Amino acid sequence: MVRITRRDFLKYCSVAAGALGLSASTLMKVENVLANSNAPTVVWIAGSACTGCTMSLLNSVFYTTVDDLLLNRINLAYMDTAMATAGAYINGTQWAGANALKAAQDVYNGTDPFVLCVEGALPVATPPGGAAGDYCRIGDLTGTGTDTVVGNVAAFAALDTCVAVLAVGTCSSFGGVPGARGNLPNAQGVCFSGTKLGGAIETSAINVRTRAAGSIAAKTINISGCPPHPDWIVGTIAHILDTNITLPNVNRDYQPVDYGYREYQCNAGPCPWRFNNTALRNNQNSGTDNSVPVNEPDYNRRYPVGDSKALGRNKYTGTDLGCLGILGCKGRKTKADCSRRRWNSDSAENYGVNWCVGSRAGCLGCTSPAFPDKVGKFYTFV
Amino acid sequence: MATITIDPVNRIEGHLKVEVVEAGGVVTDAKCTGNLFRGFELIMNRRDPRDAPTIVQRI
Repeated sequence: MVRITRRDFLKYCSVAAGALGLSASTLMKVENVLANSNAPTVVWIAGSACTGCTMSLLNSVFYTTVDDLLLNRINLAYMDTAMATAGAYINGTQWAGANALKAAQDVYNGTDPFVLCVEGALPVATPPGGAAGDYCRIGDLTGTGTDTVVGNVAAFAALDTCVAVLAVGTCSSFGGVPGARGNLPNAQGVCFSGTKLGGAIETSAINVRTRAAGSIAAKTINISGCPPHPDWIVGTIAHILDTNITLPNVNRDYQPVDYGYREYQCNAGPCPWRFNNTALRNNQNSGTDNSVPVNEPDYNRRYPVGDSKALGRNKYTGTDLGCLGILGCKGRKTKADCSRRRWNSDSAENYGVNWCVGSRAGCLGCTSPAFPDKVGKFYTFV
Repeated sequence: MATITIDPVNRIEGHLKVEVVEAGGVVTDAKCTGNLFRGFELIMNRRDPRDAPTIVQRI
């Protein structure tokens, strides 16, 4: 945006501020805060989603809170869960007033670069009596009459002005829970369909395997998790903004290695029950420990790929808190760093209060492409 | 005699489309369309029953 009128600026502010529930009077104070004019626009399209990824993002604390993110860092043009305007038609034609669809169409028809965030799986099957993808419809975001979410995401992702496609959550990354065995709409991720290469938007498995330049696979990043940790989402977005739209390094499943997906859970935290180390366990449980665990003789020892040496050794009896692998924890096969930064942190730069294994449930492996069908039974050692 | 369509409805979880037909300031017809089907009952079919809370909480 080189030149915006005051009216346009207030409209943009109301979209972002509406997400925060700001009243009209607070809106006047928002006028003084200019959204970063260099920030690329972000369009967030939700498919077959549960909106858990949105909720997780709204709970962001560690890097930045969501109000700082929306007002100062990014220009969120369209997000139907959070924006103040809805799509409106009068007698079949689009209403010319404040209209959510116009915001999306402006990005689609515009020349500014933007980042497309996709939440939720993309159904490709054809319902009886309908067209392909009709199991999930979202509205005419492109202005061409396409109202299926698959069609809209494909149209936005194919543009040259779309510099990155962030598949937020396991659903849009790999298909996830809506794409589980038995689902009728054949819900798939953007580039993957479960563990298989090739998804709803990037259908060519070869493009996905080679991350072929110029393809949609080349600009896709899978921020998987069910839901993903807000730090992983915000960290990846911040990387894209701070490096002037360079994508972070990704592994073979297109997950950003620097923002939560480098190591398996046993190693990432490290998980305190891997060592049967009381001091570390108490430190993590009481929330006093942020970084280096104490009294840890083998902290620097890196266990080989996803192998919990404590598996089956720390017996789960009485108050002894042993490794949960024997009870179905998939942490040793799951690339995520929940064991390190945990969930629900209370203030900036503080790690979270607890995580799934810390509350003595097994890790479900929700960042894995195999979730939920092929990670194995949740409560059995697999 | 105007048809007002809100598609998509904002600030809700999920997808919804609402159509209202009004004549002379009185609503004569109204339709809601739930624009998303995932089929969780079909997914839960033939699955370990202990998976139910894990899978279904993602509705």
